[in-house]
Amino acid sequence: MDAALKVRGLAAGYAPGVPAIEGVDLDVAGGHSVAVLGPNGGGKTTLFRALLGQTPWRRGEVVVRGSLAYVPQTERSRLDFPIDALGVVLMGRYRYAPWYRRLGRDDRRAAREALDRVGLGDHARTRYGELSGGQRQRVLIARALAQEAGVLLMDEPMSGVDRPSAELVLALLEELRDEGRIVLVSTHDIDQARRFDSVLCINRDQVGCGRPDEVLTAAAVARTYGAELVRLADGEQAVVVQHHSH
Amino acid sequence: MLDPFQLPFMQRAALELVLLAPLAGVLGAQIVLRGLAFYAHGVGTAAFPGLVVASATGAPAPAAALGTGLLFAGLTDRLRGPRLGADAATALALVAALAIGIVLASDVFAVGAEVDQMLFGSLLAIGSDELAATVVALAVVGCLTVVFRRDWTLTAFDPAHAGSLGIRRAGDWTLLVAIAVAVVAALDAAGALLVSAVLVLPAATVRPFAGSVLRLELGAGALALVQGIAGLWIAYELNLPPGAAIALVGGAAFAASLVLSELSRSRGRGVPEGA
Amino acid sequence: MVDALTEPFAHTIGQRALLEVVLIGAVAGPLGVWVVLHRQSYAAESLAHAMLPGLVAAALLGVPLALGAAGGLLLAALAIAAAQRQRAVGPDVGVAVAVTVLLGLGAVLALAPDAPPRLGELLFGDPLSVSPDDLVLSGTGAAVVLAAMAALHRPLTAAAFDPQLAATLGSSARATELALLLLLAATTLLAVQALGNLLVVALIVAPAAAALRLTSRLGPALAVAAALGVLAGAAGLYASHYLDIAAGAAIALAALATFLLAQLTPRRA
Repeated sequence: MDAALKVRGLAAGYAPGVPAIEGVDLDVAGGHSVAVLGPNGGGKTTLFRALLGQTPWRRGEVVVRGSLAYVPQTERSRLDFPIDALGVVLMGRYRYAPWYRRLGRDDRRAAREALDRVGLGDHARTRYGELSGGQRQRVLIARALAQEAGVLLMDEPMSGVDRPSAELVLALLEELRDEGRIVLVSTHDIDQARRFDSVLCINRDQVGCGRPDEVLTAAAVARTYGAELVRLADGEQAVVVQHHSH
Repeated sequence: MLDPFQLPFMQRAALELVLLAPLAGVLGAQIVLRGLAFYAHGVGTAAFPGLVVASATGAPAPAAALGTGLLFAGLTDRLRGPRLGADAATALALVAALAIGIVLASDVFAVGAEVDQMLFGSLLAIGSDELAATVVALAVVGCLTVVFRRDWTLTAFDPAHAGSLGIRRAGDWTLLVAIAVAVVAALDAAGALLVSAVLVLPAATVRPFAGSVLRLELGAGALALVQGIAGLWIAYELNLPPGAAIALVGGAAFAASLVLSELSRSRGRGVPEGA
Repeated sequence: MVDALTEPFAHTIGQRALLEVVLIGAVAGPLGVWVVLHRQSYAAESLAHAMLPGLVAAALLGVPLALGAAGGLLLAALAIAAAQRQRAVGPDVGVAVAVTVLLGLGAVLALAPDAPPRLGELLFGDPLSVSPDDLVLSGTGAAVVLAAMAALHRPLTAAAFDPQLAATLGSSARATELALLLLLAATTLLAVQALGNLLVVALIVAPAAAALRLTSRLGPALAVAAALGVLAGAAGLYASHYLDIAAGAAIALAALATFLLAQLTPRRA
């Protein structure tokens, strides 16, 4: 897989004049994972939506090699929808079948394999709404895999997910990265951000971008979180006091 | 031009509209602010079987209408759940009321001729009983308003904050009951299908130009009275059903307000957004 | 026993009525599943209610009801779109405004002194008045709507499950939603003769809500809804014949009964 993502001076948002994000620069090659770190409302989701072409750009340039897949937050999806896990993953194949053709055996095999990859092969026929939060998150990742995407954009995949599931998801992301994909994950958890190859800090403006140990300095984190940063602990370690429980 | 209003039945109709105006003001404002238009429409429609039963058995019509209206409210709340949206639950309860009403009217009690009046109003046939019932409704809603108006407005503006103050439940419930009472009061004027013409249209028309809840209430009340009297007069002159005429006048006023706010918006955003 | 089953359909009027309700039940059921899943039940009800002026105009002018229904639906769609431009009030309030005004317009036309007294039939329907021409229209329309639903199956799934994501899965959520509304309008047009503009929504929403209670898979839900729609139509005609009640209302009540009976089954997790 030969994915690449280049972003230059991107500004995007709905209201003209006041972009929700501004001056975002990013240059990632395949086999690389990036944590997009910022407070709630800091523009992480806007960045993803702009990359997907769903939020208008105001300025800047984006070059993507490989197709994009977006993995939404699980609590945003419809739990009442009458569909099983395999059905959700099969959605990833929709774009490969023209409307007059039924989904074929290849599509089903790809979906099965994707479910196996995330360790849910046994749950293919379980209704999506009956799965746990972590399992749902893995189903949505499987859908992105079935899409054969080179670039994965994941919106807070660890929120609303229990600890063991979060570890599973993190391990899975590392695996996907090692296969040459680009994995972009938004998070507001600094500890999680340390586990990625790079960290992009945004709070409307881009605060910093680079290796975690370079970027996650007290000053940068303070600028990222503004008033939300309340306390600094041992040396360079910044601690964000969580106002809301997750 | 004022000649028709010399006639006793026209005077009673006008008096009914005067009594309804405050309801249209206070509750119309809440309906528009809270997006409860479908609830009001649903309670009105659900009153239809109640009216049929009352007409056939001689039971007091407002009580029967309020009964089936509140039954609708409860049923909708019961039906909706994680797997059935509020919209589907409302639609089901509403169409059930209509189907039961029409079977009762045409096949059980044979009150067929009055069905049109139940659905579209009978403002010209208002008697002192109907006026008295509207006065009672006004008194009930007046009491609820005095006690709960602040809670309603606060909840409309900021549900989370209202919840933290512990007033959410009582506020919601009392508002829904108040709207049901007002809907029943408006049935004689506009009929089961057109209560929104009295309770929703004026407030929706005034909304873009009202900078505060109080102004919205006053404006909607005044407009309800003006459009009601105008509709009544047109209905008399042209021999039209008055409830329907009021709905058309209200629609014209809404269209005018829409044009006005579009014009001022295109002229450099003259009307402040959300004002 | 067999006689009791066939008796209502001994004459052509009854046979035509049965064929008509079978056709619209088979379409309205599965369409309703999409309407419920896309949370468009208000639109279903509002479009149907607001088409009254078109129906009354058709009755006054003596043109086919379907033509009036098409005009009424177009007017309703335009009025709803116009009212929703008023952004100071929510979209629901805009719809309510449009529906109220158009119901008023329909009543003014229908209750004018020289109007033929058909308002009841327009509001509450009469499947026994179906003509052979109506059946041809229903048959063609039913085939078109069913084919369109099959063609749109995947976009409808993606847009209902995950509207944000439909675009990345290769279809536009907005275009899909618009297509669903067009199919809804077509189905309403087909069903209005039998059920009237106030009761159409029963045959669209009730069998669908029942099917979604009975099964948790999409394919079976669509099939079950079609079966329940047909069943409700036939049961309504029997009830109308033997209990001597209005046929349109009887079908609506039969459809609602399928929903209530489905609620009695144990809730699956």
